[in-house]
Amino acid sequence: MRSLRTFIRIVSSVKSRPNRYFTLLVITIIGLFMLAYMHNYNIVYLVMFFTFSFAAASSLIGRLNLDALDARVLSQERLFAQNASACKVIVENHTSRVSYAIECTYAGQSRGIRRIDAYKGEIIDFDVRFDQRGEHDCLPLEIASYFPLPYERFFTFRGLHQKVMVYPEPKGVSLQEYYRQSLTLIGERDDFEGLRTYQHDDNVALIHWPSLASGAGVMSKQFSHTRQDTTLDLDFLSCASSDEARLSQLCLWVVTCEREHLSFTITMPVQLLDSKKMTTDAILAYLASY
Amino acid sequence: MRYLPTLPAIKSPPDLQRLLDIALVAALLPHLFTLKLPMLLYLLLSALMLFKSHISKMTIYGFMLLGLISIVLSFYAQYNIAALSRMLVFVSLVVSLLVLAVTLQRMSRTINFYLIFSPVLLFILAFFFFNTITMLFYALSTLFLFLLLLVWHQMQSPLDEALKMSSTLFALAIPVVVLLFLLFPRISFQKTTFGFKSDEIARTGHDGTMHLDSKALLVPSQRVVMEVLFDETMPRDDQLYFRGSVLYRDKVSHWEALPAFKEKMVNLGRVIGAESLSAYAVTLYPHQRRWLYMLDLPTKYPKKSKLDSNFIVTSDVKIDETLRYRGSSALVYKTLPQSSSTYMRHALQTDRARDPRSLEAVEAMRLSGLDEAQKAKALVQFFKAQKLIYSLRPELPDLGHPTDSFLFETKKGYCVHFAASFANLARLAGIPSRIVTGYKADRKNAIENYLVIRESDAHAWVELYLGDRGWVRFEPTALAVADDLSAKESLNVLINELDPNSETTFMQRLWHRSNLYFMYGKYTLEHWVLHYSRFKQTALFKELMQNTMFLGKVIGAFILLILLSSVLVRLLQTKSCDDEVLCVIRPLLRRLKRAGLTKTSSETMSHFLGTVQRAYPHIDRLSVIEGLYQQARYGKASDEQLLSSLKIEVLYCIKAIDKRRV
Repeated sequence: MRSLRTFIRIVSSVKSRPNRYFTLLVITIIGLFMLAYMHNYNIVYLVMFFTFSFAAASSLIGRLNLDALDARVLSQERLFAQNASACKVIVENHTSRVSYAIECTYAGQSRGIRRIDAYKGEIIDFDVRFDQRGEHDCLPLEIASYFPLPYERFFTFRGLHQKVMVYPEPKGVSLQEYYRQSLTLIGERDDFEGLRTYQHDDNVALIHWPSLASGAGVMSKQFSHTRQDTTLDLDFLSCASSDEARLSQLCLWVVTCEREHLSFTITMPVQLLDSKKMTTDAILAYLASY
Repeated sequence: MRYLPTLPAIKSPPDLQRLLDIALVAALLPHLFTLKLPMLLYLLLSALMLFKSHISKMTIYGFMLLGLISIVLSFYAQYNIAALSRMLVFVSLVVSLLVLAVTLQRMSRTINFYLIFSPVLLFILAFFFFNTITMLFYALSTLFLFLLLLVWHQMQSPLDEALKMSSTLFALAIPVVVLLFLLFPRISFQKTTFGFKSDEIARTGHDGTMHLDSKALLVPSQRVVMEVLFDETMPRDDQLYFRGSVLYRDKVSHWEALPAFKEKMVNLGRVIGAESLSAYAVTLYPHQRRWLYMLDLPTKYPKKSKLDSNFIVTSDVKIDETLRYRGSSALVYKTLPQSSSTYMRHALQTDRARDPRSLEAVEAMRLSGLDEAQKAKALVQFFKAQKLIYSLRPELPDLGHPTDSFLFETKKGYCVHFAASFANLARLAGIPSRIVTGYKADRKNAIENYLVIRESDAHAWVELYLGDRGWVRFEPTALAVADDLSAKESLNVLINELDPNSETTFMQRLWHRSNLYFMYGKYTLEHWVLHYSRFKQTALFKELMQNTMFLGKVIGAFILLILLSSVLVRLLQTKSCDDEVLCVIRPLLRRLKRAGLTKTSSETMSHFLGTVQRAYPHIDRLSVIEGLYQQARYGKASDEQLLSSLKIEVLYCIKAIDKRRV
């Protein structure tokens, strides 16, 4: 009874679709049938029955080949709307059988796996792309095979069981450009507080060249705040004209700040997002789900 | 041959083109016996051409022309539409055209859908030509080869794995095939040879005459004349007489049958008081004559044949191909009193001056006034008293007085000499006699109900007409007092191989028996597979409906077949152990999996056993298993004792899990 239940489960979970070789198989069986039936030709009967039985046995084995497989996401990059990100998926075989000739398809991309040994897995890469920000479900992975006989394609879908957060598409004015436009916000290199004698470990960029030219010796510019200590104040409402554009703009800046190791705050209409108190992913997730 | 053991280790299949080549060679094999010489030469040239790395278009065009010329030459005798309406000519033409297309396509090095299908087409076309056991084996092995090539191509794995997978498919298919073969409805009663005439020219040791002169030199052949399968138990040894022809006319050098026109004048033979009816199926191999050999005395004989007044069954046509027929015979019988004076006259005809000593010996018997039965009894006693010796290399009798010569001078002979002398002696004594030639089968050539009859079983015996009892069979050869073994050896034949008295070696007996079992197997296969028909199917269904025991047996046999197939599949799917340590612990992992605890591939054994310990706190040996596992896995050297300890612990744990379930 248990075997029957397993069989029904396998048949219902792994589907098959005939291809042109199936037509060939049918024509062969009909041809053999006519030859055998007209003349009571037992060798042909046997060949016909064997052909039919091979096809039936192949149908069973082909389903078992796929039923044993499961897939899950192993790792993935951050997902931004309208951008492709790499995603690693592991296809695992949980049985003592070897699975052969597997073809995995995700969002139109196919990857072939020659075999997956018993109790082992194979890792495959896909490019994942979503059009809209927000929380999404991963598309199911199609696992297919023509094994053992190529007259029908067996396939099954394995949900990757993962909700993914797609961040807004990072686009807009670059952070550097924005700084240049808003000089008052963070100042320029010449807005120094005073001069001091150049010290051995001073950055060459801090040298005050006019002093050197006037013969006053090598002097360094003295700043009240260094760049690392700067916390950028980003404002949701003023950064762009529409909500989506704002979110994209902020997303771009957040990513840039993370790359440049800059602290920042984002003033949202109802909340202040502080990079010192929240992780970048949490901030991005907030923006994604805004 | 030395590369054969390394074959399964081939890591991956050759490319599709090579696989197709293998399939094409296998599919073309039977056609090599049917294609005409020009086509064979064309095929050979094409095959050689395929070894070239580059074939130009011009070469392909040249080969197309060559192929067409070969086809024209092959079929030059059938340049008319009528010939093409003959199926075999038509099929041969199709095969030739297909061969041409396949070779040209193959030369172009492009694989298309039609080229992939061509081995299947060639394979199917071969069935038009052959229907033999060899073809059956060929068909099954080619089918397996096709399956293997397909599976191998799909798997892209080592050959041994592809072999295992295709064998699994084969094993799974067998019960379905058996069921379908037995139950699939058949409507056709007729078997066709597709117009093929047998090219098997053969004749048997029986030719309708019986020579006593130099032509009678006996060369016993082991060629099989016919095979018989009795429906029920096999008759006794002394009942296994298969009638061939009945000889009345003593021509001194030979005995012969009456001319056919005389036979037409009399009524057909009729058996009265038939008892112990025996039904049987005969497979008669071609002998180029019309006799259908049937057991003494036939009561039912096949259609398209006739039974004459001498109880001889003859076919309407010459037996030039293997013939299968059914018949039944009365083993105990009494024939209708002979009404024809023609037969009686011939049955008494003898030259009284030819054998004076024999005449003198039986003259008193003739005049004694005894009835025929008493005279026959006295005749048997007289014959026995002559102390005759059975010899396969006797001296030729003096044909001036052959009976005298055999009985009183040479005293050596085989069945023809015994039969001729006894029949002549009976006529001299006034008893109508005739000689019957045919085959005397031997139960030593039988297995259960199956009996083989060879040329060496050709025999002659005598029938005496004993008044009210009609014609009664007498076996004069059995009256010999001894066997001339030296003559047997000189002929290098074994007539009574299994006779405990004969000096045969164990190997000879084993050879004879093995050969017999082989023939029995072949016959059974032919009977139940090649010649399974609607008749047999109907009989099988009838038996299944009527006989509950038989139905039970059939169902039991089928269940057994499924079980065997399952075991075979299981064995084929069992992976050989690559990881010794894992294999020792695997039974426990399987048991735990059934209990709902599965070790994932990324989980360490230590972590998994920890989970198990929490689920089964009463099992106190899990830590021991973990320790042994770690030692065996990561220790410096694998220790047999360590593994066996691990095995014991694993078994203990499995039992502990089972107990908890109970």
